[in-house]
Amino acid sequence: MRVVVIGAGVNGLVAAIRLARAGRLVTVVERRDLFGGIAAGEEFHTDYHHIGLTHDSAEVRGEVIKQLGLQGGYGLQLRPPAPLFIAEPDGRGLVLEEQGSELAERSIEAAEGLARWELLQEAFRPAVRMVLREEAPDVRQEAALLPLLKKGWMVRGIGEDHLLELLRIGPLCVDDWMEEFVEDPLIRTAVLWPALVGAWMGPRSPYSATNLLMDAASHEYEIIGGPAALVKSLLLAAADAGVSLRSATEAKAIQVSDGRATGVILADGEVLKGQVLVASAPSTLLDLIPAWKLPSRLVRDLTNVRVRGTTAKLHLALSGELQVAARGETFERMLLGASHPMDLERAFDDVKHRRLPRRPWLDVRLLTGDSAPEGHSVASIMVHCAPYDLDGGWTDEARAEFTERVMAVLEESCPGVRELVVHSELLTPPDLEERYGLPGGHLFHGERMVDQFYVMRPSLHLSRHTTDLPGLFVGSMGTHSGGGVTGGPGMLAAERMIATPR
Amino acid sequence: MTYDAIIIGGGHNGLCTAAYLAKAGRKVLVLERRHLVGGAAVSEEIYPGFTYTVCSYVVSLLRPWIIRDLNLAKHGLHVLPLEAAFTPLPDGRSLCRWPDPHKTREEIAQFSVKDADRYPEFGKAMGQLARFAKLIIDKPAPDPATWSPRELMDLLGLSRKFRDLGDDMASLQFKLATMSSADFLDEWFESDVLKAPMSVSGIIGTMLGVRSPGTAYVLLHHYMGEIDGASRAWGFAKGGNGAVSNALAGAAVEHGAEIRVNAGVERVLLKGGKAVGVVLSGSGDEIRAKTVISTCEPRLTFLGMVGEENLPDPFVAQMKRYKLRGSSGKVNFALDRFPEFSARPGDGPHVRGDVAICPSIDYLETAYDEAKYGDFSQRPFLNLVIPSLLDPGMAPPGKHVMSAFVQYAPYHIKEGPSHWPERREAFGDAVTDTIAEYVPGFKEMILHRQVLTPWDLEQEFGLTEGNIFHGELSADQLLFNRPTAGWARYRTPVKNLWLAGSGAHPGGGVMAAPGALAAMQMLKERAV
Ligand SMILES: Cc1cc2nc3c(=O)[nH]c(=O)nc-3n(C[C@H](O)[C@H](O)[C@H](O)COP(=O)(O)OP(=O)(O)OC[C@H]3O[C@@H](n4cnc5c(N)ncnc54)[C@H](O)[C@@H]3O)c2cc1C
Ligand SMILES: Cc1cc2nc3c(=O)[nH]c(=O)nc-3n(C[C@H](O)[C@H](O)[C@H](O)COP(=O)(O)OP(=O)(O)OC[C@H]3O[C@@H](n4cnc5c(N)ncnc54)[C@H](O)[C@@H]3O)c2cc1C
Repeated sequence: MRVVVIGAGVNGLVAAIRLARAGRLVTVVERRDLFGGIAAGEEFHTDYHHIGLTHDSAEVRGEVIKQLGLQGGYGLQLRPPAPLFIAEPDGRGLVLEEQGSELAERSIEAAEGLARWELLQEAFRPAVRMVLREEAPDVRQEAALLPLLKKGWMVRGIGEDHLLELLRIGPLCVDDWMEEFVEDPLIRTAVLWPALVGAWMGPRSPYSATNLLMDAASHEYEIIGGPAALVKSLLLAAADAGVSLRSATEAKAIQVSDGRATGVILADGEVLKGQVLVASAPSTLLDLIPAWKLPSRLVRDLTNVRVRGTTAKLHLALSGELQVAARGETFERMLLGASHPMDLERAFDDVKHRRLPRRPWLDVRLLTGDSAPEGHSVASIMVHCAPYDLDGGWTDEARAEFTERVMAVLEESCPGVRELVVHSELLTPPDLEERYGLPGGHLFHGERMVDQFYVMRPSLHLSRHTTDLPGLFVGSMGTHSGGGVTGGPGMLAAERMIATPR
Repeated sequence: MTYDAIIIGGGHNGLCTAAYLAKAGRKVLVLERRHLVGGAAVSEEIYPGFTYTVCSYVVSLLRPWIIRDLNLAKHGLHVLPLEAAFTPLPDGRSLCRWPDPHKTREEIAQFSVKDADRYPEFGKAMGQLARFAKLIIDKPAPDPATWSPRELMDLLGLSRKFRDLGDDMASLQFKLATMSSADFLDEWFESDVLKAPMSVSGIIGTMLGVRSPGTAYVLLHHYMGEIDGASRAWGFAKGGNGAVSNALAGAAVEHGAEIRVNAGVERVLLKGGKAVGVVLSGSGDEIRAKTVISTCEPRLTFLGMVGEENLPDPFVAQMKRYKLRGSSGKVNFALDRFPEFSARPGDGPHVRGDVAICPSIDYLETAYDEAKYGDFSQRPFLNLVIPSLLDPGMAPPGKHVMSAFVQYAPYHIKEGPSHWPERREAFGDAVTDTIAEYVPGFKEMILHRQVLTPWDLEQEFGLTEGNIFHGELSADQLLFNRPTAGWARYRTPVKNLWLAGSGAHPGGGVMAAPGALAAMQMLKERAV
């Protein structure tokens, strides 16, 4: 039985491997000339490489790695996440690490508060993990009432108090929630910022606490070498499983006959027959099938998925390492440009009003070793907050001004950085849309927000990875179990395809 | 002599509780700190000849069954329907939405035919969801952590009803519960002039913007509004919202309740951990009762009148983080003549409803951003009504009263809340100036202006931090979480002390539901 997977991102690859191992003849078509989607490592300047558009690999699902055996034969190596340095304007900043002593030195109360917060995470973790690991329940069928209830029951296994607490926390804004534990704004910022990545939110936005809850429960180990190393390992496994991988191959249309999907039509007219798994952004379905062939509900749901990109990416090739002046040290992970939650809020204000951020905040990874020539380095910088729909557009002037503002923030902590820059590459949200096929330039194929989560990702009718058309499935990070480099949706989609009778 | 129940606070909820308990034969006493009853539903002649509906100004969610149970019509409640929702724009265009769908369609079609087509569709969907929501506000809050078989059946029934809505409606309901009102409306409509006035229901009284998640669900309120059973109509009480309170007071007294004004309660009298009465401020007099019912805001009730030392620690912590953060102000005007809007002159039906000053979503969001950083909005969202057009008795002939509800006026300004008095006039001026952009010559027609900042709402009306709803109506403080987890059924950690004001389920607004539901729960449990 043949399967065509559209898109060789992490989820497309995970699904392909799983399906091939289950005996399917799998072809993966990828529009770009390299594999990996947002996880692909690239040489952005001669001899300078980054490790993926997103450089965070700590969300990859443990069960996916285990099930595909990536750690054994395919070279994947894990480690605890590197410590995070967060800068403050007139101070040494803070290094946040697992067993860090610096936190306690700064403030005993904050350290205790954070410990209390982490304890609470531990209590929620099983419930959250379960939601992320399992297929979304089928709320359409009467019979599903039982599994749903059971699921509710299991969630309730976390105890009545914790259940009520979970229901209370969900709708909170992440700043209010953290404030219940920690007063120090720098520490609050250091802990809560991940809730805002890929979300059209500031720390004062209600429901951002849910994002942090999800985030904290899913982060565990990161991959040595980052997302790029995951892709490498997946490609090895795919080759082993007999997956046929075709780069520079764009799907132009999905063939639909008698109301079923029967294959994929390529740009040159070639037809690849088989079941179809769309592992690109769900809304790309609308480009591949004429709307009149689709139920109007499906069209409406896909049109309504919110994908407002807020992140730009800056790659810097550096002729040295980035030193934090206040410390005389280099750090692999840094958060710059925000030392108070309200700094993050202001940056989001600019997105709301479609302006360049007055002060962008930066999630920086410093890459050395294989990424750059000896003694040189690469700074991989996720720049928040950059509006997709900038007033006046992303003109050359706007790009230059934006880069300038990023450099100014970098300069504050790492003076002299400008002299080190050998080459820089800026990818604005429209660039990301163009290059990576990300609608709205959104990193995760769908904003992180409760109404686009779980059974609602991307919509009530698509979250189980099936569609109204037999033979057509969806399995990118725009579907359950969500955004980021996780492999979860790909695995769940593959399992669903295997379980679905032809 | 002791009472069966003492009710602290003579707002409309306190009066409603009193009426229900008295009707059931209980001996009750209502204690009100101000010189008149009504709380935030009050009418006063602040300037001779002009009656202001001082705080709240429209009647929407007042439960029809309460109006019937207590025969409020007999006690003088007469609700006049609002005839339109008018949105003037600074460029001279305007949108008016009418009870007549055909007229509304034509109005919207000037801006977008697509929106005009979708509008009735939207109303239909909302109407369906509103019927579901009513199941929730007319009953005590459901309890998700319950193990009691009866309540589990109730929960199951509720979830069945939810499923019976169908998939599409269920997902719409979920979106409505969580999304921002701007995002939610974006899925349906394209024109700002329509979306802006629709979206504002989500921000009234709350320290959130139209782009803040969780604000969409209040859109339903407009489809839940009803006057005496007639769906979807908002109304204006003849004589101002004080008429609601006066009717409730009339019903309470008729059934034998006693009401005392100028009787502020200093604290709840405790004995052996139980409430046994109250101590009045000033005189220090003690009054005893078998039960004490507070309709004051929860934090004031517990931390102010009971005392931390008499409460369990976790509960104290919950009360401390209870979100109040008032964000609204109110300005009442006595006007020398009719305030004419340049976008649509005349005193026709378009101004006999509410007038929303909110030309665009960005305008609203900018107003919120200013508040977020501790300022009142320079160009706020205003909801204006001119009650004297509907009820000429409220002003001398030819003259008018205008009520301006203002969003945002954050209690926590950067100078600190106690500095509000110094900023009061500047705040009033921002409101006057805003109106003057739509009503030429507005400043010259002002005979008197009453400016209520959140600080004033706290000092004068006992609304802590100026929160008009006795606590934010955010999802973490609604239903089984109102006012806090585990205490949503009107009971409190203090034996014989109950809650029955807007800080209890289903929350704030002139709906009288907390007061009535609390009374019924107490009677059912034979607690009084
Ligand atoms: C539960 C529920 C949810 C609804 N949600 C929305 C909503 O979010 N937004 C909205 O505008 N209407 C919504 N509607 C209204 C409804 O979708 C439209 O009124 C309906 O599509 C028009 O019906 P029709 O049969 O005339 O045209 P249809 O044939 O249904 O629609 C014409 C074409 O427009 C497409 N289309 C319709 N609405 C949208 C949309 N919002 N975005 C993209 N494509 C669309 C359809 O898929 C179809 O291809 C909802 C209705 C219900 C019952
Ligand atoms: C400016 C403003 C505009 C509003 N607009 C609307 C609207 O248009 N429509 C709507 O539905 N809702 C509106 N609301 C909300 C609505 O008015 C309130 O939620 C509702 O009136 C509260 O009723 P309550 O009885 O629960 O409390 P309150 O009305 O606050 O009553 C509590 C009473 O307790 C008294 N009190 C305080 N401390 C003591 C003490 N120590 N001892 C004795 N008594 C004490 C107070 O004086 C007050 O009378 C508005 C509110 C405000 C402030």
